[in-house]
Amino acid sequence: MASEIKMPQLGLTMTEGTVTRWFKKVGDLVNEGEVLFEVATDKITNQIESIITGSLLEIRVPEGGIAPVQAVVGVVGEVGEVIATSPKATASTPPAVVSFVAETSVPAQIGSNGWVKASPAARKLAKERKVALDKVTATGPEGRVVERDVLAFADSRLDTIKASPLAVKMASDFGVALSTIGKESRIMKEDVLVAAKVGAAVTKPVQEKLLGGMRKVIADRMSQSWNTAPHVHLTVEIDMTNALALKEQLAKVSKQKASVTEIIIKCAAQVLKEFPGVNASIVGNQIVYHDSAAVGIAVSLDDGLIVPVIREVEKKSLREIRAAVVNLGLRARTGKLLPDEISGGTFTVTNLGMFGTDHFTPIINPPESAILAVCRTIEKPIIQNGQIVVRPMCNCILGFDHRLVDGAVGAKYMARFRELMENPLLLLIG
Amino acid sequence: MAKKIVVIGGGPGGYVAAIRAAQLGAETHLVEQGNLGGTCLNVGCIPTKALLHTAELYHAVRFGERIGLKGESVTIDWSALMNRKQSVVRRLVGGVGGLLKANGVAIHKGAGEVPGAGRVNVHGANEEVLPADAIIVSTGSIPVKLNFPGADLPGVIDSTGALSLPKLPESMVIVGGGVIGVEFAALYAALGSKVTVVELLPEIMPGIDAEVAIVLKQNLGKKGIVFLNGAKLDSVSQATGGLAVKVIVGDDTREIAADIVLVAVGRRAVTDGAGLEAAGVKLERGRVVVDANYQTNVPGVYAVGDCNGIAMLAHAASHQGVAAVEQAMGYSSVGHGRPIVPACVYTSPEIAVVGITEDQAKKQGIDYKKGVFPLAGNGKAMIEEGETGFIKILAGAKYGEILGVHMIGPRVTEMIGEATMAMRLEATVDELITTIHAHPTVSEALGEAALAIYGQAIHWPPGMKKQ
Repeated sequence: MASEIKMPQLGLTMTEGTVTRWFKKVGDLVNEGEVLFEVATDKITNQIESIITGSLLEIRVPEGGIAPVQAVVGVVGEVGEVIATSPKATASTPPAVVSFVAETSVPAQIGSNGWVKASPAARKLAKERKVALDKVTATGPEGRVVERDVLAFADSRLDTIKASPLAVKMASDFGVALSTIGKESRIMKEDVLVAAKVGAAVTKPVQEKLLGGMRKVIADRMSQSWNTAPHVHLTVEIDMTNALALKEQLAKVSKQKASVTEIIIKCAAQVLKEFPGVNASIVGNQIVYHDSAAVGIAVSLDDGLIVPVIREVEKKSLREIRAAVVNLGLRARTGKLLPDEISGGTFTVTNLGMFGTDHFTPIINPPESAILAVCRTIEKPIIQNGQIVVRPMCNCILGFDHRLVDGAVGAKYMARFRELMENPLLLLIG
Repeated sequence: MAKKIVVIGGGPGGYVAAIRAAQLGAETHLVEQGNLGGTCLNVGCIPTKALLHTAELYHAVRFGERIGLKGESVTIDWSALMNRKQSVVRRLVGGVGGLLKANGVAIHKGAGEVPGAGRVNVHGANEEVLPADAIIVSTGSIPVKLNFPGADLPGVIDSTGALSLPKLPESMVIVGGGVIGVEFAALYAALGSKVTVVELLPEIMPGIDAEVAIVLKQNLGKKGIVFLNGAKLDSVSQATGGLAVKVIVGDDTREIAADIVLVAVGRRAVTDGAGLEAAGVKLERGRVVVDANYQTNVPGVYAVGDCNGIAMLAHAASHQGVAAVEQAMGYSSVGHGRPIVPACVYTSPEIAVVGITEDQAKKQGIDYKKGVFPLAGNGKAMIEEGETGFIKILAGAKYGEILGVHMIGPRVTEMIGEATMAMRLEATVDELITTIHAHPTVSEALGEAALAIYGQAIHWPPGMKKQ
C-alpha cells in the first residue's frame, strides 16, 4: 500500500518548509531509513529519511517548492501501484510534539481480520506487558502502534502498577515512566529518585519551555545590543585601599552599613558628568546627550535579571545612593519594582565580584552606550616606589558602544574613574 | 537445623522479637530477670494509663456540672484504684507469658550476659549457657537519677514510685517538664493533687511541636497545674508535714511545700550488666550503637528498643525487634522501610504526633506548607470539650507529601494511625483530602487540616485567624 510522505514539523514554531532537494527520482527504490529529501526552514535544514521501503511513486512538491507542515510532498509505494488520493492528505492537524517524522494520534487501526497495525517492537512489548494492541492510541506513521504507545498505555494503567501517590507525582515531574522501574512491590519515592538519577543520562526527555516573560525580554534586548552596538571593552585595575577606608568611615559616622557599591556608583556618575559623550544614546539618527546620570544596577534573580535605575545620581549623597540600592535591590528580588523604576537608565553598573569573578565583558543595556563591570577585590602584590606591597585590587571593565564612544574617550573615562576610586576625596572637590 | 535466637529482655522490644523469631521457625529463648512486659507493661505505659482512665472519669464527674453531670460525693478509693491498676498489669503480663509459651519460646529467668557473639550466659537460679546464632539485646532503660541535697529522702520518688504511692498526695512537685513529667502532672492534677512542674528549659515538652506545647500548657494551667519554667531544683528537705522544695527561678529562690517530689528528667539506656563492652560491642554515651538493621558492630548481636536510644518508645522497640529478627533470620526487612514512628502524650487534651516538627522543617531548610485546623470547628471535639485543640499538617511545598502531623485534642492518640499510615504509604495531602472521614468524629479535622494547606478548609471561615 502506498504511503504519503509528509512535510515534517521540525520545531514548535515551524508552520511550513521548503523542499530543497530530492535525493531520489520518481521510480527510484528507497529503503526505510534512507535519506529521501531535504527540508529547509528559516532556521535549519534537515535531511528526512523514508519511513518505509518502496518505490518513489510521485513527487508532489518539487525542489524549491514550499509546503505547509503535514502536507503530502510525495508518495512511496510498490512499483506500479496506483495511487489513491487520500482525502486527509492535507487536512490532518499538526502534532504538538517535535519530531522528525510527522505524526498524529489516532486509535489503533484494526483490519477486518482483527490485525492491528503495529511495529514489531510494539507487538513484542505489548505481549510482555499484556497490553491489548487494539486499546492503544497509535501515534506512529500511518496510524501504526509503535513501542512508545504501548509504554504510554501500560503507564496509564495505574491499576497494574503499584506506586505511592508521592512516587506518582515525582515520576511525572522527573519524566520517569513508572513502567520502566520494574519493581514487583509498591514503587516508592526512593525508587523514583534512583530511576531519575540512573535515567538522567540516557532517557530523560529534552525539556522544552516557551521563551517568554522576563527571559524573552532579556533575550531580545541582549541580541539587539550585541547585534547593533559594536562593543569595546577596557579593563583597569584599581587599588581599593582608600575606597575601602572610606567605606569603613562611612559605616562608622553614619552608624549604618556601608558598601563600596555606592562609592562606585557615585564615582561612575561623577565621571559621566565630565564625559557627556558616554552618557548618551543613539535614537534614530540622532545622538541624545542626557543631562543627568541615571545609573542602573544589575540585580540577579532566580530566573533572570533586572536592572532598576537610580536617578540623578550626581545630586545624591552616598547615603541616599546606599538607601536606593538597598531599596531597589530588595524590591527587585520580591518582584515589587514599578515600571518607571526599570526604565530610563543612561548607564549601568554590574557587579559579579561576589561570585569571585576576576574579569568579564558585559553587554551594554540599550539604549545606553556604556556599562561598567565590577569584579572581586582581592589582595595582590603590586610595586610601589620600588617596593612590593600588598593592596586590595579590583578589576573594573567599561563596555561601550564604539559607534558613539571612541576608544580614547573610553580610556580617559576609565582613567578618571580609577583616579576617583583611588582618591575618593576628590568627589568632594568635584 | 533451626536457627537459635536468644533474646535478652522481655519488654516490648524483646518479647515481640521472640514471638517473631518463633513465627519464622527459630528455636527461640528469652532471658528476663524480672517480670515479662518490661517497663511498658509493669511501670510505664500501661499502669499510668490505667490510673489516668480513673482520674479522667473522676475529673469529668467532679467538674461535670457544665455538661449536665452532677455527682454527689464522688471520691477516689485509692487502694481499689491501685488494685485495679495492678490487675490490668497482671493480666497483660500474664498474657505475654501465655503468648510466648503458645509460640514455643523458652523463657529463662535470670540476667543475660553476652560473652561474645554466639552464646548467652544466664545468671539465675541455675547458671546456663545458651548457644545462639543471633542475639537480640533489649535491655531497656531506667529513670535518670538526679543528684541534689535531699535526693534520698522518703517522698522523693521516680516514675516507678509514682505508680504505687501509699495514698493520694495532696501536693506534688514534679521535676522535669518532658513527656513523663507532664503526663504525671496531668494525672495527679486530675486526681486532685496540687501539682507544680519545675522545668529547666524555657518551655515544656522539648521535642514536641512548639505550638502544640503552648496549647497544652495553657490547658493544664487552667486545671491548676503550676509551671515553673527556667527553674532549677536546688534541694529538698524534710519539713513538718511534708517536704520543702527549694527551687531557683532566675534570681529568685522559692520554697514549695509538697508531700511528694517526683523526679522525671528522662530515662537512660541500660547496658551495664549484660557484658556488652567486654564482648566488644560498641557503646556511645551508654547506648548500644547499631546500624540500619539494628545490628551492633559485633555480627550476630543486635540491640533493639530503649537500649539503643534511637526512639525510647515501646512501639518503636517492637518494630525494631521484628526488623532485627527478620534480618537475623535471613529475610531482608522488606516492607519496614525507614521507620516512621508516631508518639502519643496522655494528658488532657491528648497529644499525638508523627514526622517532623515545624522547627525541624525550618532548621533543615525544607520548603514546606502548613495547614492548621482548630478543633473549635469540629463538632465531636466541641462535644468532648476539646475546642482548644488543633491539628497541624506540614507538607512538602512541591509534591504535598506529608512531613509531619501534630495533633492536640480529644481522642487524637487513636487518630495518629491514619497520619502514620499516610506517611508510611507516602500519601500526599490530596489523599488525606479525598479520604472520607466518618462523621461525627474528631478525625474529620485531619481532612480539614489537609484542606487548610490549600486555604480551603470547609468548616473554618477563610482568612479567619486560627486559635
